[in-house]
Amino acid sequence: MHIDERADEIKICAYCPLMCKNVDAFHRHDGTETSAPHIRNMMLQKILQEKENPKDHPPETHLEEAAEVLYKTTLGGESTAWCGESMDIRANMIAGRTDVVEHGYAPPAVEDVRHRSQREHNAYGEPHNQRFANIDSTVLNRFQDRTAPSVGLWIGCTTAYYEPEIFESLAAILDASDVAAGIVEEERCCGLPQYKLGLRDTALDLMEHNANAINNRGFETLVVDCPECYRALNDYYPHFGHDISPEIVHSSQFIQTLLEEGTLELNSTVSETVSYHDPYELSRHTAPIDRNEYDTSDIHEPPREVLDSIPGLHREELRHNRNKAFSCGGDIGVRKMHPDVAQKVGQTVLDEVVTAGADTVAVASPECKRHLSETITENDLNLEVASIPELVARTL
Amino acid sequence: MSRISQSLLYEELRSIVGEENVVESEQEQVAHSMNCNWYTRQLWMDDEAIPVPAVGVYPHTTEHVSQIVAFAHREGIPVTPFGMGSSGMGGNVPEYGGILVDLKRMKDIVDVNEESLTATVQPGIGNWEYEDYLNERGFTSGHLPASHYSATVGGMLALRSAGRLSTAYGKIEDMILGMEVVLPTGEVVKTKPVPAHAAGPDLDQLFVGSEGAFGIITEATLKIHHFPDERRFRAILFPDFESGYTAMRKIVQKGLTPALARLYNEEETARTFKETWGVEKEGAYVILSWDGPEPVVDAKERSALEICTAEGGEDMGADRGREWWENKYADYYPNEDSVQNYQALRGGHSDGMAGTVTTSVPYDKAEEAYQAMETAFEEKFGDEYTAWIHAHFSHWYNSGTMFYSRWHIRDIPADTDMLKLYNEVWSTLVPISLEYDGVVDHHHGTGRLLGRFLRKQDEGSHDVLANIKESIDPKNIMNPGVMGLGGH
Repeated sequence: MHIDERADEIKICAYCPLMCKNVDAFHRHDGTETSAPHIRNMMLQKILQEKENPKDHPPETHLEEAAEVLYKTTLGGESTAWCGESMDIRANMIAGRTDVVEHGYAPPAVEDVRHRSQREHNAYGEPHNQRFANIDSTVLNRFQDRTAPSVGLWIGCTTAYYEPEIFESLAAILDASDVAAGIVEEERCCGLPQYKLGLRDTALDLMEHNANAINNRGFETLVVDCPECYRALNDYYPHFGHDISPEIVHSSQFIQTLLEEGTLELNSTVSETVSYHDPYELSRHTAPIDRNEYDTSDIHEPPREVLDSIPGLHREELRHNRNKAFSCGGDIGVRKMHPDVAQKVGQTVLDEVVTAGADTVAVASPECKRHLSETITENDLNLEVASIPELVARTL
Repeated sequence: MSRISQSLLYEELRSIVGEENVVESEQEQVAHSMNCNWYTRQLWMDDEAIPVPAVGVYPHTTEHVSQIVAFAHREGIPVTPFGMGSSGMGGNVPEYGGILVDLKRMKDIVDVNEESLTATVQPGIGNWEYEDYLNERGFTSGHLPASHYSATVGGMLALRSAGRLSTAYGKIEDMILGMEVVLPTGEVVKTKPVPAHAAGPDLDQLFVGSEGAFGIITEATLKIHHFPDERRFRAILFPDFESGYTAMRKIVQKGLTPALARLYNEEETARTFKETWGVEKEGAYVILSWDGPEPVVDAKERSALEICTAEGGEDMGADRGREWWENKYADYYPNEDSVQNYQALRGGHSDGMAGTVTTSVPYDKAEEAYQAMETAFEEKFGDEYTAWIHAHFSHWYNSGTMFYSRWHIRDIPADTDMLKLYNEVWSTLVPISLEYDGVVDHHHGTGRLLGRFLRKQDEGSHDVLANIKESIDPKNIMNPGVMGLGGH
């Protein structure tokens, strides 16, 4: 997607009387004027206008100027959720970033992600040949040994490298439910982090590889815990011509089904007060291209219903929840380029958790878990972050 | 401009607020020239020169602001205070360059006093964030303007803002209890947040509405309210504008204090019914609401409905009123059609422009004033262009009301001088308000667009303002050019 394809939407946002300014998570904590949504769109409008009416300098001049500004957002979609016209500003920014990258003006941090992704097939640059090295090998081996299972587990980069206990907990849940699942050993980054940074070609390479690898496995269902991977496989892959054979379900949906069918029983009791943090890729999804599809496939209730099934768990809703949830700042672009803002954005979510009276933040995203855990450590807070699979696994 | 070099300017400011709070990028300078008025945005789009600050600075504390302003005063450098940039009158455009003081990093809620019902905040907090914080704790500011998502509390104080519920809760000048202000010389003034006093003039009211010309507001203590137990809406359709107007006046003057009180003229009523509900209706539409304990709301609503019935009003029920409330910001989001109004390009690139005159007038002059404004606009612009004007009356007082006239001009020939045409509209409409004992503006401020009319508003008052300005800002560094007080 390029800015020409978003011209109408960009123009509207550029001329908006700032109706989403105060809700934008990045801008609220950063405060600089250039991080305001209308200013970012105005920069793109200027480029579009000069493409239509070329003057004495090429529009690329303004692309270079806009480069830094376009990355001053979490892409979390608060602006869209609050917008009276549901304008998909995230799509405008991704289009702008794509143009920036293709004209050679990618910021160094973005170039770094490109190189790491090309070299190691993940945005973090962790060694590809060590992708599953942090996962308990006895658990992993069982998944590797299975032939022709109908259910697959997609691990995802953040879980594989930094949060292996999420996979191990999911594995325990499947074992307890007598579901024999396999994994995609050739899995690479889903490509969505790269796509969102404007690294379209890198993203498309990853998508093509993964689509083939998944389809070769012959799964009927692929369980995905990472919301970015879920969104990529469900929506972006088909959009770019890579239909995925198995049905893609989020881990919370899969666990909910196991509970409803009675194949999974939760035996022991916990004693925790938990608030669920909605990750934006699940809670206010924006489709890859067509803004009219906004909000069609949000996953709000399955995570809550799974949590409510846990004996002894008391759940308190955050003030901003579902499609109005605040993003946590765990997006790779913001973490790399504006770590101080990412921390402040995360702190806002944690403040809501404290106000809600919870002692644990339940998350449905490994990126949220990693980022909020770091924010807790950084600010020396007495809170725990746990993924839904981990909370469920504690009761088995 | 000052005698000091750009590099020394940066160095001095960095020493005050730290390197991370001095922004030097060209994009940031451009962004700080923008606001909800279209002019600088269009100049920039057309690659023409725009007024930009020499430097943008983000203070965190009153001490920072004081040191910045003291430095600017010493060196004679213009200072423009900046909140969220939603001014529609160009008041925060750094016309003379200098230092732009962006207050968005001063956004703490310092205190909420649940017993005295006050909140003390730094100026840079956004109104949405502030209200959200209060709501979470069971309170409300009662201040919900159209710029709810795009204005800071400090900015709203500086422009004497009005919210949708002002008929019950008052404008922001009715909510202020105490302030801290950094004067143009850098000294700090702090008034006590008492409910009332007779110990000299109320200094808060000198700074509220002063548009940054008299100093920078660095802290404010405002009234807050318990979030109402009951918030009830009612929609009424009157046979014509006059009967609706009479009913509204009587409701307010009888002390039935609706929170929301909006009367639409016939054109806007017909449009609203057609566009919103697909129904052809004639008459004048009123939306009312009451906040408070249920028995109080019951009693006020009952009495108000009796007045409405007596004036021929047809009760349209609660749902249509509530529906308006739930979509109260909807008209402000541009879409593919309305974006033309925001895109009033210079040099004939676009064919549309629009604007809003807000004025307050005594009851005995309001209808006449509005009719005169409508007639003058149509006579002056209706033949040459596609031009229309419509109004609603949405802030009601014991002695008078406010009308909000939204004007539109379309089909503008390509060779038109858009700025000249734009200014002609204001020069046509604002003097009519003054002629009928109204004011230049009710709740948007005057900024750089309307300051030129202020001298004609009140007899002798503009000289008083000028004298105060000269006394407290002898070098004229604080936001020079607003309120018609003269440039730097």
